[in-house]
Amino acid sequence: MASNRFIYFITSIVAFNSFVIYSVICKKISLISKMELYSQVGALTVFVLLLGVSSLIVSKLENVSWKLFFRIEFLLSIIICLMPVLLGLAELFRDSANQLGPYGWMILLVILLVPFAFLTGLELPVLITLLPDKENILLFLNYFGSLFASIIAVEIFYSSGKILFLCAIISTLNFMVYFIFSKHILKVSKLNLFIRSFIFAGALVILAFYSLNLGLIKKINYLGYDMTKVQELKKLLNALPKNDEIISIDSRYQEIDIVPASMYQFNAKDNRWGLYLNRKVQFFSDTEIIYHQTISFFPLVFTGLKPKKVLILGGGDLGVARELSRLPELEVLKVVELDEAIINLAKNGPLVNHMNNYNQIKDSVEIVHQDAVSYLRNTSEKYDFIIADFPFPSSFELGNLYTKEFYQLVINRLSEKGVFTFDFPFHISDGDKEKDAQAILLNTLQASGLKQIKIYGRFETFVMASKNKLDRKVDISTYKEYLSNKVLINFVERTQHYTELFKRSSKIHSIFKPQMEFRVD
Amino acid sequence: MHHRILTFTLAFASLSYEFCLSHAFTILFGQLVEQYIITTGLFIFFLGFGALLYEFKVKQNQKIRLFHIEFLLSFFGAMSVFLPFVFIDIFPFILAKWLSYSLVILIAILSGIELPMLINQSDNKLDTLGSDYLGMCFAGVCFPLFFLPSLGLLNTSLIIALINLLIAFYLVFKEHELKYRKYVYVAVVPICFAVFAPNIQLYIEGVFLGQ
Repeated sequence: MASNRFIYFITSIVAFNSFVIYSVICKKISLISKMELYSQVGALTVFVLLLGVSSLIVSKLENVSWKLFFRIEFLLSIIICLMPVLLGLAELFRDSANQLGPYGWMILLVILLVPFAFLTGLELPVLITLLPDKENILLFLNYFGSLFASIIAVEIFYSSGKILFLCAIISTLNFMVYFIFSKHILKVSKLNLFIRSFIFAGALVILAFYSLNLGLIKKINYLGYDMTKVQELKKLLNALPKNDEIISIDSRYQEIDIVPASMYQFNAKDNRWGLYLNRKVQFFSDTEIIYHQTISFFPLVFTGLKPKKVLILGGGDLGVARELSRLPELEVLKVVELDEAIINLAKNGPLVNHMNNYNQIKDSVEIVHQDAVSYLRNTSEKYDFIIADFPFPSSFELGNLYTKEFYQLVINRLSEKGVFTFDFPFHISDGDKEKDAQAILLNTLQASGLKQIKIYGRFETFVMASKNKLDRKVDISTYKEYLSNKVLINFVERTQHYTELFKRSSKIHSIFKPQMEFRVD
Repeated sequence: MHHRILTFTLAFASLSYEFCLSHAFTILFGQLVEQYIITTGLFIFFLGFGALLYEFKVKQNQKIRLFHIEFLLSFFGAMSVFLPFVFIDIFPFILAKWLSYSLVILIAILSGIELPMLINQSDNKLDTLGSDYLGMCFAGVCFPLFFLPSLGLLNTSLIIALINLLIAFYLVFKEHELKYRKYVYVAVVPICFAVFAPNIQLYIEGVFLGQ
């Protein structure tokens, strides 16, 4: 039999592999479900439970041999290799799972995790059974492998986001463990080895085929077909645009897609495009001006404010920066954006740098790579005008940017006559469930201490609030030259439509006590 | 108390502390997924380390009993949400971050010692293991669906600490520990934290807001 040192090495490797793949599943499920908290907690629970079940099963087995261990490794190699494909399939059925809420994702998570966690859970008890006098060392090395993987997964893998590549490497590593042991130590027949190698090569081919068709899966997602209906699938294959491609960037924090109009609008054949973050639309190239000019200028028109120091939180596409860079009194225009990838896109394109006129505005904009909360907590500067241009609170983490504490941080950074504005993540026509979330947001704003909360915008709605009560000085003449005519019809105050909502709920969304109802799908 | 319920509750408490810590780290350091992965990695590793520690050091030492571990867990558990905010308030960011992670290590080691102790006290080892895993499973369901939205982060950690404290006292009386009075002093911290929870909440909110 192999030397103990070699087995110790194998023990750390298999634990490392398992934990890295576990974190891959967590990361991907979080991304596609938008339910990070449920995914993380659910995954850990299922994983720990399955580890326990596997241990119990091994303790009941009478014949535990090295053959069993290497069979487990072989099966794990196949599962790990096919994991990205399974995750891709989960993505296709995202809408069906979303309809079931957190439970739908829990079910999907269980389906994905059970075979993997079960086999992983068998590894350590089998090794301990085979080397009973070395159980403490095996335990230590196994846990060490997991710890090492958690550090590697976070520090290296999360920044690259190459799930496919990682799964291919890890599964090959696992298969090599199986192959070397089976050939040299267990003396498995050549035919047997050949068949197993053939099966593993088949899994690698499926992975390669999947990687070549990643764009197709994205297209299917953007076209919004219900994959649970076979007839829809037939329609889909006929309708897929053949020539238009999605430009995708996987950043550390999000998936950034620039999507041609043919993917989100039936039969569109022009050059329009949309910017999507984590599959949620941020803006369309033909209507972005309404969004960016309304959020930039309505609060100024409404209050008569002439800001010298402006802070944009988020807004890495620099659309808002483009608008505000034209202000004549401007001294400071700072953009605080967490994701360097979106800033690179805004600077170097494609398409986005043309939309924001980067070459013309680059001298007037200061860009800070930091998350908004950390920036607000650590800066001592005061601003006359703060704009939060964040994605909608579609996930637990994004929801933290709509909490009482976040708004209190904003108040602390506003000058005495300062004004704060952000995109209101709801529509008047929203249903009952969304009205609860709207009520929570409005109560949260009040609880934070913000004054004069106004909702404005006919097509795109925004919220405006101030640190202190301000006199209303509507002055459109100062900014009229900056505004497009189609934007002016969006300059409508709509606060009266929402006043009833203040009475609807008394709940406050706090970072310390998040309200699960506060979520925008 | 039935051994199975005891194991279930203690496993539930241990994992709940880890969730509380992960969530506190998310608030302070950002990046929920990363914080949960780091905490899970540290937790699993030091659970194993705790089990080893039990095997080599604790097992031979008859003075260390399960209720000692429970008192310590209650003590550190009650402070698990509060301390990272204190660290951030007092120390430089990097030092505060690692000190905060050391709380995960501490609770994981104590929880790691706890399980072999429970297994040793039980006639049916597999039953104890099963109850332990079920307790963890229950914590995973309760934390996001009930504790966090209904009680909030600080109150969750305090309630779990009080559960640990109750179990510790139960074990003290069960084992006919006559010098129980000295353990009352250890109980002061979790009880004080529970009584002054609103003030502590104000403090941690103040730290978060940089006030």
